Amino acid sequence: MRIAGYRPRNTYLQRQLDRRWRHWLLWCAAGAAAMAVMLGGFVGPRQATVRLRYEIAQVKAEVDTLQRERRSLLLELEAATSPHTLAARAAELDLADVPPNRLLFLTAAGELVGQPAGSPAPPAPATGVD
Amino acid sequence: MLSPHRWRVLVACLASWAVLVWLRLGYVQVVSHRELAEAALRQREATLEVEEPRGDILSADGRILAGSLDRVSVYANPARIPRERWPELAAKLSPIIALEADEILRRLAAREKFFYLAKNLDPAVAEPIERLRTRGLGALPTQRRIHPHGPLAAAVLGFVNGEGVGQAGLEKAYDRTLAGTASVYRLLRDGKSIPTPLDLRLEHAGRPGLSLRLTLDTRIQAAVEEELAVTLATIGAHGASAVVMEPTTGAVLALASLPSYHPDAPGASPPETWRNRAVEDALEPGSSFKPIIVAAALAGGGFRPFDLVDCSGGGVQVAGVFLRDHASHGLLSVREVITRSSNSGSIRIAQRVSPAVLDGTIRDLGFGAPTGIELPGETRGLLHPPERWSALSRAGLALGQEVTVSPLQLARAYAAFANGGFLVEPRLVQATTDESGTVVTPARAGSPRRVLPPALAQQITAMLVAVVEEGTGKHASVPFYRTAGKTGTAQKAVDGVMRSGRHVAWFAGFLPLPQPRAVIVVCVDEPRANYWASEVAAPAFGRIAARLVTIMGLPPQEAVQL
Repeated sequence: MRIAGYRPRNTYLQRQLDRRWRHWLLWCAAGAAAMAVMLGGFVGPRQATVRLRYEIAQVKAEVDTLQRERRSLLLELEAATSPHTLAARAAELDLADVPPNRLLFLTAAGELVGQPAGSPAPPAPATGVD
Repeated sequence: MLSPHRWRVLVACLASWAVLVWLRLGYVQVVSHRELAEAALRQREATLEVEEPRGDILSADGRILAGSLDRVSVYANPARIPRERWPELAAKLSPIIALEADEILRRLAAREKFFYLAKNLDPAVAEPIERLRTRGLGALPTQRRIHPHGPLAAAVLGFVNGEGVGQAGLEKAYDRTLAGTASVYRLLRDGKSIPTPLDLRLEHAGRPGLSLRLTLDTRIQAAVEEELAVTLATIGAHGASAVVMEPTTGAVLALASLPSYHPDAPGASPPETWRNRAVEDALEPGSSFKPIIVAAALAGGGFRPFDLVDCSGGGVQVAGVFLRDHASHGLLSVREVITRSSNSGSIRIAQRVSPAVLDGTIRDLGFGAPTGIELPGETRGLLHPPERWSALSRAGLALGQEVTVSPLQLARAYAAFANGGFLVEPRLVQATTDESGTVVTPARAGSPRRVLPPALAQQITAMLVAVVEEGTGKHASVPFYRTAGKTGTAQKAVDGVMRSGRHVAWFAGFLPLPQPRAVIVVCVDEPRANYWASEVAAPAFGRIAARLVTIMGLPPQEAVQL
């Protein structure tokens, strides 16, 4: 039977709040923390390795790119300074043929020598044909 | 409540099932372990073969004649790409590979299986293509062979095909050395079976290709090619070739063959231009062969340089055939026979030398056999054994007509005159080196073989000097440098028959005397405007020699000290 407006006044009848959940929560938190520490212990170094590997890969990719560019530039330099290219662009590059009488040679004995003054007689027509 | 009997049946069924499960487990885990493990690995792992870079070909002066650049090729497999995705993919791909979207769609529709959408692209395009994460579409690393000096020494270098395999020249001869071996990586596939770069593991380390360091000098090679081009432009000819070789070592400083091609795009030129004329062509040497005949006569024919030979009558009758000379010379010494290039004199000398001695000397000087140079397709030339000689054979040989030689063979023989009688082995490759430039395989050890007494080599050299100073080779002279050499104009045999109007003009010689540093052979095949060697090949020799002494820094012999 329910008596309207009745409120028990006896304090001993008032039920205490169940506070055991706090312990339970504490244990859960502690457990989670322990788990996190444990997982962190496992994952942390692995993460660092992965991060390092990623950075190494990035640097390697950059090095590869730079090496490719260097190689490409080297081949371009070869092409630009090729004897055929220089000969074709001689006028543009203001390059002139040096006549043999203006060339000097350094001998093995350390002497600087050149051709005698005056041009040699042009060769006479060939004797006979063949 | 189940009866005990039913319990037993149930337990027996469950036990049987458990046993079957355990048996199957045992079968899977033990018996089929290997196949299943491999199948699982195949499913989740992919193999990536990365081609190691092909080695360079370097000149003696350190220039890169052929090198490789990293590139990528974009592939597509239309069967693995849903058709409804094509337009979207084409739109995204178009700016990456610089190809119109319509063209991409057309190519996808035209093929059913794997094909290359675009080749030789910058490696930077690989990343955006990978980001599309589309099965059946990707970028594969590849390489492109570059020849920075264009057609320079093309016939020596050769070229590679689309797969990077050598097809001609040194690229073919040294394909395995230059190519190296590929590295093999293992990587994981994602849920869509697309390979991801995560957990990339090297399974087999490849080896980058080794580089070849040649004996060729780019400056000399360029000079030789330019002067040959001048000859072709002024005289007009079917082709021309030249060899420049060190007489003491056999190191080839230049080996030119014109007309040439660009090895970056060999398909743009006719295949005939791919041939290395200096090594692969066997042509009649004409009078440039006379010094070899005279060497045989002096070595074993009882002749001396100043013995007189009757060169009158404007020719010689041999076996019922009258062989004409350029002129009636009267009595000439053996030396003058060479200087004036007398056909009658040469024939009369050859007729007095036994076939065995003649054949022996010719073969000793390297004719009738390949020189062994490191190039594919080398000719051995034509030289019949004495048993097959006819009554006209010695006369034919005396005129350089019943024999064919390559320009390289002739250079080798003249090197024997220049170096005091040793037959050298011509070589093009100085060494093979690794990426750091360290020598892996040194140059092939040449073993020069004495084939002529030193005095005889000197006598022939003196005759060849007279040819340049007084005889038919005056246009080959280089002011202030003593030069030796011999002209040769030969009629060309086509299908075994001498054809009038088809000639070969030669000049073979060396300089500077007394210690020659270079043997030069010039060969002009079927010259048009003028066919005489003294007017065609000798001037080309002279121009090449004049540039050579400057490049090599050889001081003039009548030099004045400053």
